[in-house]
Amino acid sequence: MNKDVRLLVSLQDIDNLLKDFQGGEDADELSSLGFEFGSVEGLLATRNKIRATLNSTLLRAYDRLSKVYGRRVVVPVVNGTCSGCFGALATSRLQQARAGDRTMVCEHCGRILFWL
Amino acid sequence: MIGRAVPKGKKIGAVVREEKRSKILEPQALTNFLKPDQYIPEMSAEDRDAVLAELSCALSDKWPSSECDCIEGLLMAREQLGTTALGKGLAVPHVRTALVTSLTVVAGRSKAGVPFRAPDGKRAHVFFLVLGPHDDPGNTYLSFLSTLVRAFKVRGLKGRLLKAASFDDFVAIMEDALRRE
Repeated sequence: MNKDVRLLVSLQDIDNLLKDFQGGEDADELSSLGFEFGSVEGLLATRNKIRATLNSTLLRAYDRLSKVYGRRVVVPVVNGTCSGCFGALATSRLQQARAGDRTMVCEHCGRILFWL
Repeated sequence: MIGRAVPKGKKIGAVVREEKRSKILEPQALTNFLKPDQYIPEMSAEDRDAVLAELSCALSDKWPSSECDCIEGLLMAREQLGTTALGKGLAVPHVRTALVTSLTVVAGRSKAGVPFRAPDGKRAHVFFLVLGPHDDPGNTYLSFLSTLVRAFKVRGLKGRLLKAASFDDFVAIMEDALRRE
C-alpha cells in the first residue's frame, strides 16, 4: 500500500469515527457499555493534519466519492473483487493493486482500492 | 432474489434496527476470536501510547509495519475522543477500520499495570485490542465488545487472567467467566 492510500484509509477511518460519535449507533452502544466520550477537537485536528498532507487531486476524489458512497470509499480488494461494489477486477488491475505503488480505482464503481 | 422474512405486524426498519443491535455472544464464539499469535502474555509497555504500539505490532504477521503504524495512529486518534479504559484493570482499545475484513482481536497482560486514564484512576492490567470492519452486517464488533464488558462484571476475573499460565488457560478463564455471568 502506498503512502497516499495509507493516509486515505486513516482519513476515512477518522471520518467514520466522527460520524459514529456524532449521532451514530456505535456511540450510543459504547456509552451504555461504559466507554467515555469527550470532545472531538483533538480528533478534528488530527483529521485536518492528514488532509493537509494528502495530495490535492486524491483529496478531491475522496471528497467527491464520499458524497456518493458515504462511509466506504477506500476499500480492500477481497478475492479478486472490489469490496465496495463486489465487481470482479481485471487481472492486470489486480496485479497493479497488489504491487501497491500506484493508487488504483475500481473500474466498476470508481472507489479507491488497496490490497490486503 | 435474496429476501428476508419480516414477522407479521413488524416493519422492515424495526427488523433491521434489531439486527444491528449488539447481541451477547456465546463463550465459545467470543474466544474463537482470540488467537495464540495475537496474545501477549507479558507486555513491556509502560505507558498508554506504548501499549497501543505493542498491541498493533502483534499484528505484524498479518500486515507490513506501515499498516501496523496506521492502526497505532488510528487507536491514538480514538483515544482523543475519550479513554478506552473501563476501570477495574481492563482497557479495550477499539476502532473500526478498512484495514480488516473481519473482527480482529489482540489480547495482552501487564502484571505491573499501565496508567491508561481509567475512570477509577487504577492501572490497566488486561488489554484487548478490538478492530472491526466498517461493513459488519451481523454487528460482531459491538457484540464482541458488549460480551467482553459483561465478562468483566465477574469478580476476580482480572486476577485470574493475570495468573493464567498459558494462552489456553487464558481462554478457559474467559469462557468460564462468561458462563458464570
